Amino acid sequence: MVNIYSAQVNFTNIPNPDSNASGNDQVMLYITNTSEAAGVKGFGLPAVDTEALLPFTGASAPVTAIEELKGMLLFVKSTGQAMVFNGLVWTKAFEVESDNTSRFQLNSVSTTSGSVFLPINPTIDKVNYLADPLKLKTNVPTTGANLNRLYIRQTGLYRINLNITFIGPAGSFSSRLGAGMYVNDAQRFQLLENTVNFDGTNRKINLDFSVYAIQGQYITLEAVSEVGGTTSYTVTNNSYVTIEKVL
Amino acid sequence: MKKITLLMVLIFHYALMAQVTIGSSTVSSQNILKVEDGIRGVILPYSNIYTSFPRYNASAPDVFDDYPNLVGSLIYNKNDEQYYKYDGYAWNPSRQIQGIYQPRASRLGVSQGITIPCISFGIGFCFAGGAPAYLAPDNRSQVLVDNLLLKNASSVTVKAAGMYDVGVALAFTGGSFGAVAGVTEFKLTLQVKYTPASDWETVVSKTNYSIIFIVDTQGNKTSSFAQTISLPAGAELRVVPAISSTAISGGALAAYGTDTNSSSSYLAARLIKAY
Repeated sequence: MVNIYSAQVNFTNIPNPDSNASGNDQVMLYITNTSEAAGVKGFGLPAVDTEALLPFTGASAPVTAIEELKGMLLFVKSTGQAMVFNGLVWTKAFEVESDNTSRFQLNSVSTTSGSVFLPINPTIDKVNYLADPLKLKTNVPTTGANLNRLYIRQTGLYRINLNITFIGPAGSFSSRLGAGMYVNDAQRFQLLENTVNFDGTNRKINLDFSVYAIQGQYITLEAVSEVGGTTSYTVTNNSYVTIEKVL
Repeated sequence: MKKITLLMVLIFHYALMAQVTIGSSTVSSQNILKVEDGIRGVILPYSNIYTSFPRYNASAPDVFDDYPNLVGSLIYNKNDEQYYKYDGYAWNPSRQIQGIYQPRASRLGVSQGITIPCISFGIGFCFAGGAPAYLAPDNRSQVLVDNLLLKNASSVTVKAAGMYDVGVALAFTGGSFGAVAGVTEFKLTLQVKYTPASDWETVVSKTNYSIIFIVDTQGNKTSSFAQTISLPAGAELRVVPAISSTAISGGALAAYGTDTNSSSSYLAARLIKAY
């Protein structure tokens, strides 16, 4: 039975589908067509007729996530969608999202040193366009340093828009304001902008970073004031960060 | 009966070409393996975190080794609660287009950098350094792809008129030699040559700044921005870096170079809407 648990199962007539295998090819189950010319065959997921028939929905929905069932797949015939269960709810498993943009609100934060890391609120509120299809905050702790972090799930090119509202003492914003960006706690960029006094009291900057980030890296952001400018200000929660996966 | 068949396969590791159905007596000739129940699902292999995925290699550019025989593999990541698919180069979230297959975007690495010398006697001055070339070969493991066919023999040229999102990043290496104090600004300018006969026009210029301490040892400095721009077919793009220094010194030299690492230096374009 120990063998069964760790076995690699091969549903092909190729003796070793992984020709580069060196004793540990890291594939649990091969379901491989031997020849496309001879007719391709597929892998059929278990299916239900409608979404209402998915287990653990409606009155049967769990209160807390069922760890053992994370990753369970079912196909829904009425929608043509493969659905995945995260232990709590079902979502589409494979359909490519047209909206590859996550957007978060920032928590209010103050500084007297001229720079301050920006706390990124993970709350999802789709009515107000706060969403996270890139899963940058999924299962990321909401306390300590992790509150400031966005975790990259896919290597690629990202555009990060920061829309920050500053308030401070009258006349304090005579110099430029800006933002810095860190990758794995190493500073990569700082951009300075001439601020916009958009409502007579608050100052606002709106800038875009372009960053190439690798899976597993985390991004943190900070508000900065130009050297010689004010060091005391508050970033209000009328501030947002938007992350688009470009490539 | 079919369950027993599967168990036999598991035990004896038989290579099997027959159609196997689990949970039903109905066999489909179009499936190699069919799991049927009506209410219960299947769970494919999972991992608690991406560092346990097959072919993980922290030193690889995209943290995974290239491995053609693993193409098509699926694995569930409990850490961020989504399936990943392997494309021969890296594991990608199943609901996102892999960068290398995004048909309307290019990311070009630096093929030839430049050096910007600076001198400081009382006040600082840096010399103009020209423009780096963004014609590095494609590299899928570094998501360096030119799906918009921007690379010409010696220029970056737009082939299709449209609205583009252009992203630019350029890292500077080097620093001051000698005692200086002040601020050095690293500026990136995106320029467009709209027609072969026209001059280079500045579209946007952004500044990244570095505080110089007694001896500037802060290492790499990177400037980056993104800009939306409407471009005609045939328009050329280039990036002009510049350094200005307000550092005060009794005498110091500095030499700043462009870092050619594609993680921090690139020119990227995405076609938002073709005209």
